[in-house]
Amino acid sequence: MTELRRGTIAFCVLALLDERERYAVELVDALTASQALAAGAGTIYPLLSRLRDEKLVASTWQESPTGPPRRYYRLTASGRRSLEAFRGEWAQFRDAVDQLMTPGTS
Amino acid sequence: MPTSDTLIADYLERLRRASVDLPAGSRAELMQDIGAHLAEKVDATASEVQVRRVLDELGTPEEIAAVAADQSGARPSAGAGGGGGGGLAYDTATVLVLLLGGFVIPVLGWIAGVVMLWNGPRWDARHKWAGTLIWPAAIVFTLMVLTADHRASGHLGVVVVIGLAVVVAGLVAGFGYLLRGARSSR
Repeated sequence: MTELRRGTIAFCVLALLDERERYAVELVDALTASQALAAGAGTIYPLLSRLRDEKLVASTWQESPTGPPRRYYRLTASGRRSLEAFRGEWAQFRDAVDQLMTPGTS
Repeated sequence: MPTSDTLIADYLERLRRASVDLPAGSRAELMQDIGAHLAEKVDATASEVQVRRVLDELGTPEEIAAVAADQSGARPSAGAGGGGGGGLAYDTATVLVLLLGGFVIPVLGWIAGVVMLWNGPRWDARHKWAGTLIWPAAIVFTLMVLTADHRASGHLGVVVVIGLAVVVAGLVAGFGYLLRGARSSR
Protein backbone atom coordinates (compact mmCIF):
# COMPACT_ATOMS: atom_id res chain seq x y z
CA MET A 1 0.00 0.00 0.00
CA THR A 2 2.91 2.31 0.76
CA GLU A 3 4.04 2.09 -2.88
CA LEU A 4 0.57 2.92 -4.16
CA ARG A 5 0.30 5.91 -1.85
CA ARG A 6 3.76 7.13 -2.69
CA GLY A 7 3.00 6.99 -6.40
CA THR A 8 -0.23 8.97 -6.09
CA ILE A 9 0.75 11.49 -3.42
CA ALA A 10 2.53 13.69 -5.97
CA PHE A 11 -0.74 14.10 -7.83
CA CYS A 12 -2.59 14.86 -4.58
CA VAL A 13 -0.09 17.71 -4.12
CA LEU A 14 -0.71 18.92 -7.69
CA ALA A 15 -4.48 18.74 -7.08
CA LEU A 16 -4.18 20.85 -3.91
CA LEU A 17 -2.12 23.42 -5.83
CA ASP A 18 -4.68 23.45 -8.63
CA GLU A 19 -7.06 25.25 -6.26
CA ARG A 20 -4.60 27.96 -5.21
CA GLU A 21 -0.95 28.45 -4.32
CA ARG A 22 0.03 27.15 -0.91
CA TYR A 23 3.07 26.97 1.32
CA ALA A 24 4.52 23.63 2.36
CA VAL A 25 3.08 23.50 5.89
CA GLU A 26 -0.40 24.06 4.44
CA LEU A 27 0.14 21.17 2.03
CA VAL A 28 1.36 18.94 4.85
CA ASP A 29 -1.64 19.84 7.02
CA ALA A 30 -4.12 19.19 4.21
CA LEU A 31 -2.54 15.83 3.37
CA THR A 32 -2.31 14.79 7.03
CA ALA A 33 -5.94 15.77 7.63
CA SER A 34 -7.11 13.57 4.74
CA GLN A 35 -4.73 10.77 5.86
CA ALA A 36 -3.36 10.59 2.33
CA LEU A 37 0.22 10.77 3.58
CA ALA A 38 1.44 7.32 4.57
CA ALA A 39 4.93 8.44 5.59
CA GLY A 40 6.22 11.19 7.86
CA ALA A 41 5.24 14.74 6.91
CA GLY A 42 8.89 15.61 6.26
CA THR A 43 8.92 13.34 3.21
CA ILE A 44 6.81 15.94 1.41
CA TYR A 45 9.89 18.17 1.00
CA PRO A 46 11.98 15.87 -1.21
CA LEU A 47 8.80 15.29 -3.22
CA LEU A 48 8.25 19.04 -3.66
CA SER A 49 11.89 19.43 -4.76
CA ARG A 50 11.43 16.74 -7.39
CA LEU A 51 8.19 18.30 -8.64
CA ARG A 52 10.00 21.61 -8.97
CA ASP A 53 12.96 20.00 -10.77
CA GLU A 54 10.48 18.48 -13.19
CA LYS A 55 8.89 21.94 -13.60
CA LEU A 56 5.46 20.67 -12.55
CA VAL A 57 5.38 23.26 -9.77
CA ALA A 58 7.17 26.56 -9.24
CA SER A 59 7.97 28.20 -5.92
CA THR A 60 8.64 31.65 -4.52
CA TRP A 61 9.58 32.83 -1.04
CA GLN A 62 7.05 35.24 0.43
CA GLU A 63 6.85 37.18 3.68
CA SER A 64 4.59 35.70 6.31
CA PRO A 65 2.35 38.03 8.34
CA THR A 66 3.24 36.19 11.55
CA GLY A 67 6.58 34.43 11.35
CA PRO A 68 9.54 33.54 9.13
CA PRO A 69 9.27 33.71 5.28
CA ARG A 70 7.44 30.85 3.56
CA ARG A 71 8.14 29.06 0.31
CA TYR A 72 4.91 29.15 -1.69
CA TYR A 73 4.26 26.55 -4.39
CA ARG A 74 2.05 26.93 -7.43
CA LEU A 75 1.12 24.72 -10.37
CA THR A 76 2.84 25.31 -13.72
CA ALA A 77 1.13 24.78 -17.09
CA SER A 78 2.97 21.49 -17.43
CA GLY A 79 1.91 20.49 -13.90
CA ARG A 80 -1.69 21.22 -14.82
CA ARG A 81 -1.45 19.02 -17.93
CA SER A 82 0.12 16.24 -15.88
CA LEU A 83 -2.66 16.52 -13.30
CA GLU A 84 -5.39 16.40 -15.97
CA ALA A 85 -3.83 13.27 -17.50
CA PHE A 86 -3.67 11.64 -14.06
CA ARG A 87 -7.30 12.54 -13.29
CA GLY A 88 -8.46 10.62 -16.36
CA GLU A 89 -6.24 7.61 -15.70
CA TRP A 90 -7.11 7.54 -12.03
CA ALA A 91 -10.85 7.48 -12.70
CA GLN A 92 -10.42 4.52 -15.05
CA PHE A 93 -8.09 2.70 -12.66
CA ARG A 94 -10.35 3.31 -9.67
CA ASP A 95 -13.40 1.99 -11.52
CA ALA A 96 -11.50 -1.08 -12.68
CA VAL A 97 -10.25 -1.87 -9.16
CA ASP A 98 -13.68 -1.21 -7.65
CA GLN A 99 -15.21 -3.64 -10.08
CA LEU A 100 -12.64 -6.34 -9.28
CA MET A 101 -12.95 -5.75 -5.54
CA THR A 102 -16.74 -5.99 -5.52
CA PRO A 103 -17.83 -9.62 -5.84
CA GLY A 104 -20.41 -10.40 -8.49
CA THR A 105 -19.84 -7.38 -10.73
CA SER A 106 -17.15 -8.80 -12.99
CA MET B 1 13.36 26.96 26.25
CA PRO B 2 16.67 25.12 26.10
CA THR B 3 15.24 21.57 25.95
CA SER B 4 13.13 22.34 22.88
CA ASP B 5 16.07 24.02 21.19
CA THR B 6 18.22 20.98 21.94
CA LEU B 7 15.58 18.63 20.53
CA ILE B 8 15.43 20.60 17.30
CA ALA B 9 19.21 20.95 17.04
CA ASP B 10 19.61 17.18 17.58
CA TYR B 11 16.97 16.45 14.97
CA LEU B 12 18.62 18.71 12.37
CA GLU B 13 22.03 17.22 13.15
CA ARG B 14 20.66 13.70 12.60
CA LEU B 15 19.14 14.85 9.31
CA ARG B 16 22.44 16.42 8.27
CA ARG B 17 24.27 13.13 8.91
CA ALA B 18 21.57 10.95 7.34
CA SER B 19 21.59 13.00 4.12
CA VAL B 20 25.36 12.95 3.60
CA ASP B 21 25.05 10.95 0.35
CA LEU B 22 22.65 13.42 -1.31
CA PRO B 23 23.92 15.80 -4.00
CA ALA B 24 25.07 18.99 -2.22
CA GLY B 25 22.29 21.15 -3.67
CA SER B 26 19.49 18.74 -2.76
CA ARG B 27 20.90 18.33 0.72
CA ALA B 28 21.12 22.08 1.38
CA GLU B 29 17.58 22.54 0.11
CA LEU B 30 16.26 19.72 2.30
CA MET B 31 17.93 21.18 5.40
CA GLN B 32 16.51 24.60 4.53
CA ASP B 33 12.98 23.24 3.99
CA ILE B 34 12.92 21.23 7.22
CA GLY B 35 14.39 24.23 9.08
CA ALA B 36 11.64 26.48 7.68
CA HIS B 37 9.00 23.87 8.59
CA LEU B 38 10.20 23.77 12.20
CA ALA B 39 10.38 27.57 12.39
CA GLU B 40 6.77 27.71 11.17
CA LYS B 41 5.44 25.02 13.49
CA VAL B 42 7.42 25.75 16.65
CA ASP B 43 7.28 29.23 18.17
CA ALA B 44 9.21 30.53 21.15
CA THR B 45 6.46 29.54 23.58
CA ALA B 46 6.16 25.92 22.43
CA SER B 47 6.41 23.33 25.18
CA GLU B 48 8.67 20.31 24.97
CA VAL B 49 5.65 18.08 24.28
CA GLN B 50 4.58 20.30 21.38
CA VAL B 51 8.08 20.16 19.90
CA ARG B 52 8.18 16.38 20.23
CA ARG B 53 4.81 16.13 18.47
CA VAL B 54 6.00 18.29 15.58
CA LEU B 55 9.15 16.18 15.22
CA ASP B 56 7.15 12.93 15.36
CA GLU B 57 4.83 14.25 12.68
CA LEU B 58 7.81 15.02 10.44
CA GLY B 59 9.05 11.43 10.65
CA THR B 60 12.59 10.32 11.46
CA PRO B 61 15.47 12.16 9.78
CA GLU B 62 16.58 8.80 8.37
CA GLU B 63 13.17 8.25 6.76
CA ILE B 64 13.18 11.72 5.18
CA ALA B 65 16.75 11.29 3.94
CA ALA B 66 15.86 7.90 2.43
CA VAL B 67 12.93 9.39 0.53
CA ALA B 68 15.16 12.27 -0.59
CA ALA B 69 17.78 9.81 -1.88
CA ASP B 70 15.01 7.94 -3.67
CA GLN B 71 13.56 11.07 -5.28
CA SER B 72 16.91 12.50 -6.30
CA GLY B 73 17.90 9.07 -7.68
CA ALA B 74 14.84 9.35 -9.91
CA ARG B 75 16.25 12.63 -11.17
CA PRO B 76 18.25 12.10 -14.35
CA SER B 77 20.79 14.75 -13.34
CA ALA B 78 21.75 13.03 -10.08
CA GLY B 79 24.27 10.86 -11.97
CA ALA B 80 25.00 8.59 -8.99
CA GLY B 81 27.58 5.81 -9.51
CA GLY B 82 28.02 4.61 -13.08
CA GLY B 83 24.62 5.93 -14.14
CA GLY B 84 26.11 8.82 -16.13
CA GLY B 85 28.21 6.53 -18.32
CA GLY B 86 25.28 4.20 -19.02
CA GLY B 87 23.22 7.23 -19.95
CA LEU B 88 25.83 8.40 -22.45
CA ALA B 89 25.98 4.95 -24.07
CA TYR B 90 22.20 4.70 -24.35
CA ASP B 91 21.81 8.24 -25.73
CA THR B 92 24.55 7.79 -28.34
CA ALA B 93 23.21 4.36 -29.36
CA THR B 94 19.72 5.83 -29.71
CA VAL B 95 20.90 8.64 -31.98
CA LEU B 96 23.01 6.24 -34.09
CA VAL B 97 20.17 3.74 -34.50
CA LEU B 98 17.79 6.57 -35.34
CA LEU B 99 20.21 8.02 -37.90
CA LEU B 100 21.61 4.82 -39.48
CA GLY B 101 19.22 2.02 -38.46
CA GLY B 102 17.12 2.59 -41.56
CA PHE B 103 20.14 1.84 -43.79
CA VAL B 104 20.82 -1.49 -42.03
CA ILE B 105 17.21 -2.70 -41.90
CA PRO B 106 14.98 -0.40 -43.98
CA VAL B 107 12.09 1.19 -42.06
CA LEU B 108 12.33 -1.29 -39.13
CA GLY B 109 15.76 0.03 -38.09
CA TRP B 110 14.38 3.56 -38.03
CA ILE B 111 11.33 2.43 -36.00
CA ALA B 112 13.69 0.81 -33.47
CA GLY B 113 15.47 4.17 -33.14
CA VAL B 114 12.16 5.98 -32.59
CA VAL B 115 11.19 3.46 -29.88
CA MET B 116 14.57 3.95 -28.16
CA LEU B 117 14.14 7.72 -28.42
CA TRP B 118 10.69 7.70 -26.77
CA ASN B 119 11.93 5.35 -24.03
CA GLY B 120 14.96 7.57 -23.36
CA PRO B 121 14.64 9.24 -19.96
CA ARG B 122 16.74 12.27 -20.88
CA TRP B 123 14.71 13.73 -23.72
CA ASP B 124 11.67 15.91 -23.27
CA ALA B 125 8.64 15.81 -25.58
CA ARG B 126 10.07 18.49 -27.89
CA HIS B 127 13.25 16.49 -28.50
CA LYS B 128 11.29 13.30 -28.98
CA TRP B 129 9.04 14.83 -31.62
CA ALA B 130 11.96 16.53 -33.35
CA GLY B 131 13.92 13.26 -33.41
CA THR B 132 10.93 11.37 -34.77
CA LEU B 133 10.32 13.89 -37.54
CA ILE B 134 13.93 14.36 -38.72
CA TRP B 135 13.95 11.51 -41.24
CA PRO B 136 10.36 12.05 -42.51
CA ALA B 137 11.20 15.75 -42.96
CA ALA B 138 14.46 14.90 -44.80
CA ILE B 139 12.63 12.49 -47.11
CA VAL B 140 9.79 14.92 -47.84
CA PHE B 141 12.31 17.67 -48.56
CA THR B 142 14.30 15.39 -50.87
CA LEU B 143 11.13 14.51 -52.78
CA MET B 144 10.28 18.21 -53.11
CA VAL B 145 13.75 18.88 -54.53
CA LEU B 146 13.40 16.03 -57.03
CA THR B 147 9.95 17.23 -58.19
CA ALA B 148 11.26 20.76 -58.58
CA ASP B 149 13.81 19.43 -61.08
CA HIS B 150 11.24 19.07 -63.85
CA ARG B 151 10.28 22.72 -63.71
CA ALA B 152 13.83 24.08 -63.42
CA SER B 153 15.54 21.52 -65.63
CA GLY B 154 18.07 24.09 -66.82
CA HIS B 155 19.63 24.18 -63.38
CA LEU B 156 19.00 20.52 -62.49
CA GLY B 157 22.51 19.81 -61.19
CA VAL B 158 22.65 22.94 -59.03
CA VAL B 159 19.20 22.33 -57.51
CA VAL B 160 20.05 18.72 -56.62
CA VAL B 161 23.40 19.64 -55.07
CA ILE B 162 21.96 22.49 -53.00
CA GLY B 163 18.95 20.40 -52.05
CA LEU B 164 21.07 17.47 -50.86
CA ALA B 165 23.39 19.84 -48.96
CA VAL B 166 20.36 21.28 -47.15
CA VAL B 167 19.12 17.76 -46.32
CA VAL B 168 22.53 16.69 -44.95
CA ALA B 169 22.88 19.92 -42.95
CA GLY B 170 19.37 19.40 -41.56
CA LEU B 171 20.20 15.84 -40.49
CA VAL B 172 23.46 16.90 -38.83
CA ALA B 173 21.75 19.79 -37.01
CA GLY B 174 18.84 17.58 -35.93
CA PHE B 175 21.00 14.84 -34.46
CA GLY B 176 23.33 17.36 -32.83
CA TYR B 177 20.23 18.89 -31.21
CA LEU B 178 19.26 15.45 -29.81
CA LEU B 179 22.73 14.76 -28.41
CA ARG B 180 22.91 18.19 -26.79
CA GLY B 181 19.43 17.72 -25.31
CA ALA B 182 20.47 14.42 -23.73
CA ARG B 183 23.78 15.81 -22.48
CA SER B 184 22.09 18.72 -20.72
CA SER B 185 19.95 16.27 -18.72
CA ARG B 186 22.76 13.89 -17.74
